[in-house]
Amino acid sequence: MSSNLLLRATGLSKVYSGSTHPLATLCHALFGIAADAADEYPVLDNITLDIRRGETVGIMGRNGAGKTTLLGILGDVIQPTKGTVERFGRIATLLGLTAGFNPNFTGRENAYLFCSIQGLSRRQTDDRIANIETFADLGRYFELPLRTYSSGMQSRLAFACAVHVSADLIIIDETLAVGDANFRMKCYDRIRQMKQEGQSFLLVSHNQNLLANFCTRGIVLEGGKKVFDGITSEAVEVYKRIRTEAMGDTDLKGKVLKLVSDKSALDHDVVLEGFCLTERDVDGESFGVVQAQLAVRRGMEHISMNFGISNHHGIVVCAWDGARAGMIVRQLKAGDRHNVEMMFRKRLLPGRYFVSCIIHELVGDVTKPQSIYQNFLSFEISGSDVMSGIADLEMSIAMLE
Amino acid sequence: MPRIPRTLFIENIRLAWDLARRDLSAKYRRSAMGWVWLILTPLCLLGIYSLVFGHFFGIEWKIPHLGGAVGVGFALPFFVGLSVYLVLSDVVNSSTVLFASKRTYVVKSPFPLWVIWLANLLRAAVHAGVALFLVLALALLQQRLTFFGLCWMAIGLVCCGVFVSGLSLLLAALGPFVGDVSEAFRLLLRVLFYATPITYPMTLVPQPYHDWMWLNPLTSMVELLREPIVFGQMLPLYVYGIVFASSLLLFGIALWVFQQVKGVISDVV
Repeated sequence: MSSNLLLRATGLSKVYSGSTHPLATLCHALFGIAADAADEYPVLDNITLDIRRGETVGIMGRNGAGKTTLLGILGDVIQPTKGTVERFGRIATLLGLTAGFNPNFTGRENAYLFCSIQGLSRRQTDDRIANIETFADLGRYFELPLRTYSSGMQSRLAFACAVHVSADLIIIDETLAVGDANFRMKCYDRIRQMKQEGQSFLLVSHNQNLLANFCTRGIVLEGGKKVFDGITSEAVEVYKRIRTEAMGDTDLKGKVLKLVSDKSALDHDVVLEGFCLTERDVDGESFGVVQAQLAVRRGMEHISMNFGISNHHGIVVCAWDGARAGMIVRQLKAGDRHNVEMMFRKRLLPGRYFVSCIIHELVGDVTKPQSIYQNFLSFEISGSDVMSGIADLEMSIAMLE
Repeated sequence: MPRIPRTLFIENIRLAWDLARRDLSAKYRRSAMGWVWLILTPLCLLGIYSLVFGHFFGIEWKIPHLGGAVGVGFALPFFVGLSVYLVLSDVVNSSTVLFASKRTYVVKSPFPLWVIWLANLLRAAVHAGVALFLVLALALLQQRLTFFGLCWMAIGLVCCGVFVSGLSLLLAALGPFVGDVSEAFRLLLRVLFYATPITYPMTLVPQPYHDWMWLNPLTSMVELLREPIVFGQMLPLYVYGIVFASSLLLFGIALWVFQQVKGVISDVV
C-alpha cells in the first residue's frame, strides 16, 4: 500500500506574523529568536494527509480557510512552520495563472521554462512541445510574448503545460475558472481521461459541482484545520453546512459607514443623531428595523422622511417616498428629539445592502430637504445560495409525475 | 525514498543558464543596437575619463620596477579598475532586489531559489566576459600582455569570482528582509568609486592612507587584476592568501544565511 503513496504530509502548520517587521522574520530565521507572538495568526493548524496514486482529491473551504497555503506547501512553494511533506514522485504545481511564467517570453519559451521548473530536461520537453502547442490551441499567439495574452489564453497555456509534464501528481488551484467554456470542457475531458489512465490530481475550486464530479475524495478545511476527509459527496455536504453556519453569525449586523449629511448646500436644521439596526419578528415574519434619533435645531411645522435600500450595484431595491406618504412629525420645536423607526420586510437574497435616508421639511405643499444621508448604513444578508439576485420570491422547482 | 533524478543538479544549472540567456536576450531584444551597448558603454566611459583624468589632469601609472620613471599612461590601468567596478556594481545592484524582481518564480512555483541566484550571476558573468575581452584587447594593443601576467590574472579572477559570488548570495538573501540594503549599497558603491584606486594610482595616495585603502575589498580586487595585466607582475603571495581566505569565509557565511532564510523568503517578498 505504501508503494502507492505519492505524498504524505504530517502535522503541517503555517503561522504568519501579520505586522512583524521583515527584520524580525530575519532574526527568527537566522538565530531562532522568536518574534513577539501577539500578532501571529495561524493559517494552517496541524494538517495531516496522504495522497495515493490514482486518487483525485478535492480541497474545499471558504475564503481564508487556508486552501492556497496548503497547496503552496504541498507544491513546495511555501515552507511550513511545522511539519513535514514527503513526496514520492514528480509533482506539477499550477498555482495561479502566471505561475513561473515570464511575460516577456513567448508561449513556446514559457512552455520550456515551465517544464524545466517542473524538472523535465530539454530533450523531454522537445518530445512534448508539439502536444502542448496542439492542446493549448493558441495559434500564432504561441510565438508571441505572454504579455499579449488574455487571461484565458494564459490559463490555456498553463493548463496545457501542466497536463503534459508527466507528473505523478498534478496540483491545480482555481486555474480552470478562467478561460472560455469550450476550453474548460476540453480541460475537464482531459482530466477525466487522465484520471481513467490512473493520473492523480489535487484540485482546489469553489465550484462544488466540479469537485463532486471529479473527485474520489474530498477534504474540507475550515479555519486552517482539516474538518473532513472522506467521500466527496459527504465533503460537499460538510462544506455547505460550514458555509451556512458561518454566514448565520453575521446576520443583519449593521455597519455604520458615515453619519454625515452630504450636501453642504442644505440647512441641516433636522439631523440624524444616532441609529441602530435590529431585527423583529411580526406574525412569524422577519423584519429589519432601523431605529433613528432625530435632533431638531429650529422650529418647523412638519417633517417627512425618504428612506431606501439599495444593493452593492447601487440598484434601488425599495424606496419610501416621504413627500407622498406625508408627514411623520408635526409641530417641531428647537431642541426636540424624536425617535423614528424605519421597517422593512427582510425578503432579500444574500448580499450586501445599503440604507439611505433624506429628511424633508414640509411647508404647505413644498418639500425642502434638510439632511441627506447616502448609504449611511450597510448590512449583510446571508442564507442559501440556491437563489441569486435581489428579492427572495421563494422560488422552487419540482418535477411533475 | 523520494525519487530524485540523478541529473537534477545538472538540469538546474542548465535551467539557470537558460534563465540568464533569456534575461540577456529580453534585455537587448527591445533595443535597436542590441549588444553594441554592452561594448559602447565601457568604451565611452573610458574615453571621457581618459580625457579628463589622463589628459587634463595628467594622471598616469608608472612602471614600478623601472624606478617609477616610465609611464604606461592612463587608459589601460584605469580600464581594468573601471571594468571591475562596473561588474561589481552590476552584481550588487541586481542581487539586493533579486528575489523581489523575480517574484512570480519565488511565490508561485517550486523554483529552487539558488537557481535564480546562479542565473543572475551567470548573466553578470557574461557582462564580465565582454569586459575582460575588451581589457585584454586594449592590453594587447598596448603590448603589455605577458604569459606570466595572464596566469596571475586568472588566479586573481578566481579570487574575485568567489568574493563576488559570496557577496551576491548574501545580498540576495538579506535584500528581501532589509530594504535599506539596496539603498546602502548603492551609496557605498558611489563612495567606493573614488575610495578605490580606479581613477588614480596608489602611488598618488599619501602613505598614512594606504592601510585604509587596502581595507576596501574593491582595492584588492582591482590591484589583483591590474598588476598582472598592466605590469605583468604578481602581488605578494600573502595578499592572494588573505583575499582568497576572506572570500571563502564570506561565501561560507552567505551560504549559511541563505540556508537559514530561504524558507521564509517567499513569505516576505
